[in-house]
Amino acid sequence: MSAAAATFGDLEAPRPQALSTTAAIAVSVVLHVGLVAAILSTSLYRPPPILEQQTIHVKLARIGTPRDKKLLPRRPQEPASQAAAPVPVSSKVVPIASTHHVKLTDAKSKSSEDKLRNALAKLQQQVDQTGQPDGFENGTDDVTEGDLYWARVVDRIKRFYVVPNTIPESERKKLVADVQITIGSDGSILEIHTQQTSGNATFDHAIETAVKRCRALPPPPATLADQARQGVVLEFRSAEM
Amino acid sequence: MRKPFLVLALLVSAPAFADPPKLIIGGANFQPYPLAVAPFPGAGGAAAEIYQTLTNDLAISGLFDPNVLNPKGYLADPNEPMTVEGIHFQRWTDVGAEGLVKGLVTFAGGEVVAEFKLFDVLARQEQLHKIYKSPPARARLIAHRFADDLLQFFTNETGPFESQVAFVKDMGRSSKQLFVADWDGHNERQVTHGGQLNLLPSWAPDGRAIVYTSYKLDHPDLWEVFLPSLQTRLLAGHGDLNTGGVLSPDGRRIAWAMSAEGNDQIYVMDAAGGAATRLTNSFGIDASPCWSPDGKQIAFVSQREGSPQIFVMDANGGNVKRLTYQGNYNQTPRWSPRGDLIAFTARDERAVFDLFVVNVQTGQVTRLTQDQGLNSDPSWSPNGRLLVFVSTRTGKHELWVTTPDGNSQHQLTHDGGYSTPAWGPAFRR
Repeated sequence: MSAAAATFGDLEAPRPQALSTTAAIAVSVVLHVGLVAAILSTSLYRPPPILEQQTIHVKLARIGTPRDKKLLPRRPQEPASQAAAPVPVSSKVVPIASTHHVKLTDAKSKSSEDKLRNALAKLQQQVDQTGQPDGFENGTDDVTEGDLYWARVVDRIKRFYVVPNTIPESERKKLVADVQITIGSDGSILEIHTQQTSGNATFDHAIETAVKRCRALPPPPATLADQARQGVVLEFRSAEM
Repeated sequence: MRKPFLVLALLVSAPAFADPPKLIIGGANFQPYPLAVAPFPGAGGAAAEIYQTLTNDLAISGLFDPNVLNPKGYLADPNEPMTVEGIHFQRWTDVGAEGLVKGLVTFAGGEVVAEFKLFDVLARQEQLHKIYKSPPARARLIAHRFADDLLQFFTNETGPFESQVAFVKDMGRSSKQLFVADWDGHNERQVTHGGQLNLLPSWAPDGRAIVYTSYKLDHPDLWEVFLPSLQTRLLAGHGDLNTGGVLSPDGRRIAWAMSAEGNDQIYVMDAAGGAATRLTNSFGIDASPCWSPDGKQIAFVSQREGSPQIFVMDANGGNVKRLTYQGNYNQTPRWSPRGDLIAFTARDERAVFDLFVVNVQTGQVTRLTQDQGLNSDPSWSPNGRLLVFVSTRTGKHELWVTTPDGNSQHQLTHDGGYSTPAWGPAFRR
């Protein structure tokens, strides 16, 4: 055995060395390929984010009076139209009462009366309207919820959120579509990208039109400027929340 | 061998990318569809009557933009043909129309023949083509039927415009009689003639009878009048009072309020007659029953917790739940044919009666009328898209209709004295 082994060893002396080098290279290549594959697969696979996407529920309260929950609701008043823009309730209205300082012509007097009447009508409207004393002229809800800037963004876009009535009733309660937008520091909408369609072309078209018709949003505060520029997803739901 | 490590280094050094925040924007503002109806050339009075009836149906439906529908806002060429090739679509686009109805009314063999076409203005395509014939006296029915066919086309639902409304009319000298009219208040026909007081009509689901309370035997009893024969039948005449009778959606049972064992309670009985089964048993008055569209539940008014409130129970009287907690005088519940809402009349803190709806699932109450006289007695159209009700906003008790959001309200009658309307089922006459 030993002679044979020696002979074998003598004759075949280089072969074990050659085999081990090839095997080492092969193992090395396999390991590297495997490592790269593992790295690539883990980097390409996006697991569910540990921190889920932040969903922001926001509402902008209209100015008004909080209503006792035991009372029957009142209908929200329509916001005053631009054409009949009422005089703002401000200190400007007050001096009109002390007219002894100002010599008013008839026209001016009439104008002052109109202003006063408008202001009173507006105050009455605010008393009648369900809302919050620190609410907003253009608010749409009974209370303000969430971050004020995002509430203003939602409020602005909601004004243009008009969908044709011809969408069947059965679909109206469940249509949902996501649109991602980026917002510049001046509030301008820089990019619009439909992220997820609703499956109803009429609805998708209507919400894209709504965002485009907004043109500009309120400028973001410094704390949210980066976030606004990186993008925000608008999830449009056909039904009330 | 260095490349993989380079890739790895790049991947590791890539900044973590966070998903952007998501803002939820709910409550789409569904706006009426801009449909224009070009005036119909053709047989004089009939053409004008059909045109007026059709545009009135469409305007009140709340589905179509009245500013585009109304021909006063623009001048339509009366000689424009009703073909894709002949229509000047740009003119219709200019007035904001996205849909266009054209029609032609002629006489043939003593009958009115009306041909209608619907066009998609933006796509410049014909979408619907209908031809109807009728005796001249029923020309308005042609308009109602085409309005129903248009609604069917746009919404995939049966339209309500061929249906009828029953109501009580004050005839003076303490007499109140039942009437039936087309849904728009036209074509009134008196249904009861005997007895001084006939009240609270409610339709059989097949539209061939009306259940009501009558004093024709000098006692408030439950009666049924059959259409069109006007034959009557006594249903229930026990106890001190029988009122608010309503047939179940399958037409086999009647629920009503009877005062036989103390105060008013809800009872049911077989529509063909038989023994009454008591469903409620409370110290307060229970009245005004109405069936859910599937016939499995009954909504009613009860004073069991102090003030009149809307309650819901199973059709066998079990599982009673209070539905309204706002206001202290809620009455006349009427369950929507869609099942999701119950309309009712309520007195608010200003002592004014107005219409409201309550969501059966959430209990959320929405106001439909406000600051316009007294408003009461809602009744749903068979498709659940409209409610007929009584309003005093003109100084007289008239019938009005509203969409269930209260945004579109129209007056139907003008001679006063109307009360307790009941909108009948949809069926072709």
